[in-house]
Amino acid sequence: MKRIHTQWARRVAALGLVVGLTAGLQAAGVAQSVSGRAYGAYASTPLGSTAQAPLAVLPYGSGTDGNVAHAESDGLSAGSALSADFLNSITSGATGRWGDASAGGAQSVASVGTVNILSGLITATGVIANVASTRTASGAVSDANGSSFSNLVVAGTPVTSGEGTVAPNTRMNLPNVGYVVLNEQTLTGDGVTSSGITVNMIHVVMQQPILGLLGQVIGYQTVGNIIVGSASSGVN
Amino acid sequence: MFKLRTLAVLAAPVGIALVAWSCDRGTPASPRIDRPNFWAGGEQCPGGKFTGGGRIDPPDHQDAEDQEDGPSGPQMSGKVTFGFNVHLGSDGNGGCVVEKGEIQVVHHQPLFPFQVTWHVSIHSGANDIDGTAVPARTYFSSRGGLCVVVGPTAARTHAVTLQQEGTEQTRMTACDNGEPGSSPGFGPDAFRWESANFGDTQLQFLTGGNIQAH
Repeated sequence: MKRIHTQWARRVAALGLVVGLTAGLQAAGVAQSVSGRAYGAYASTPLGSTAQAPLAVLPYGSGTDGNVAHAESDGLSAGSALSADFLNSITSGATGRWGDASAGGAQSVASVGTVNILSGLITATGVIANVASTRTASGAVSDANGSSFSNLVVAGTPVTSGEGTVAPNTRMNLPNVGYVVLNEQTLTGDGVTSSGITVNMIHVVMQQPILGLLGQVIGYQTVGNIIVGSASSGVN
Repeated sequence: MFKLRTLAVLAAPVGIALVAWSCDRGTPASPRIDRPNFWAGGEQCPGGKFTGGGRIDPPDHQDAEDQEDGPSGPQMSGKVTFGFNVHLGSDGNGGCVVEKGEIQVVHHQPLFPFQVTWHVSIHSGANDIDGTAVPARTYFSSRGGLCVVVGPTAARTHAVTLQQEGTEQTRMTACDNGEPGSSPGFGPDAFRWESANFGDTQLQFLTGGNIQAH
């Protein structure tokens, strides 16, 4: 019985010290790295394809010295899947901050002028994906403030009149095509020492039905993806 | 046995307390920044670097209190996105210059002059376009933040819709007023872009993104 108590006490003591020291060191630590990425458009469909372009990526190890990357294109097209003009991608970041050595931040912006997806199924006169990730002594956060659409129309339905925002991860069905996710947001990190976010302002998922032996629909398979306005940032 | 139990009883709460402390040290969203020890005010160049990126929507959210001087040209309106990283240093005479850096600014304008991009590139203390030094200075904002002014300096300009390319004099002002740099709505960080040919955004609170003085 004594031996069991001894082992229990040792384990609790060790656990308490390890948890405490780890948390304490993390809180007192400094931002180690930042990451950023932005591109205007991407398409991989049977109707046409284009790589992520124009693509701006924060170089690896940008933290200490800070860095900025940018890319731009007057226009691009991918068959009848996508056309867009005035595409600009910018990302920047650095570790450390005046008055707070533990701080760091990265921010990315992808902007696109006129957008036409799938021969007018989705149109907009402007798209901006804007994200920022920040770490301070009090925690790490990410946001997509400043992300917006201009005159977005989906399948004939006006979604924004003029400049406007859409709730994160808004899904709309596209009959005979699949669906679109607007302001698609993915968050990562623990919110204490790390945080990251990716925003895809327009993400079209093209699908085809999978038919059973009797011709009935038993599921769907993805046959293409189109993304317009993608920005990512991260800090840890 | 007693000692081990005592150690366990003491260590576990310490661990829990440290976890709580690390997770719950609340600070305001836009804390005021204390002046660094090396800062002597006046014209001394504090060195260091500034990094930022995001968006402003002039003229909707002007930071008139911290804008150093009046408009230098027609009001630039619409959406402006940007990203930059500049390193400051001394010119040897007590003045402040940019040792290296890059600035990219994009104007999304539905009306004339429509869509314009600017790019400034500085290496080894000289602007890549004309080889001249790039002046810089810093000042404290009314919110206890730190602002940097870069320029006037030459930028490569691309007026996309007008199909014009060239160079012109530009100036950037960026203010780090707290973390995070933007909230739902706008602020606290602010940005200004002045262009000799296309106008002046005036100092605007960010509607997205962040600016950090390092």
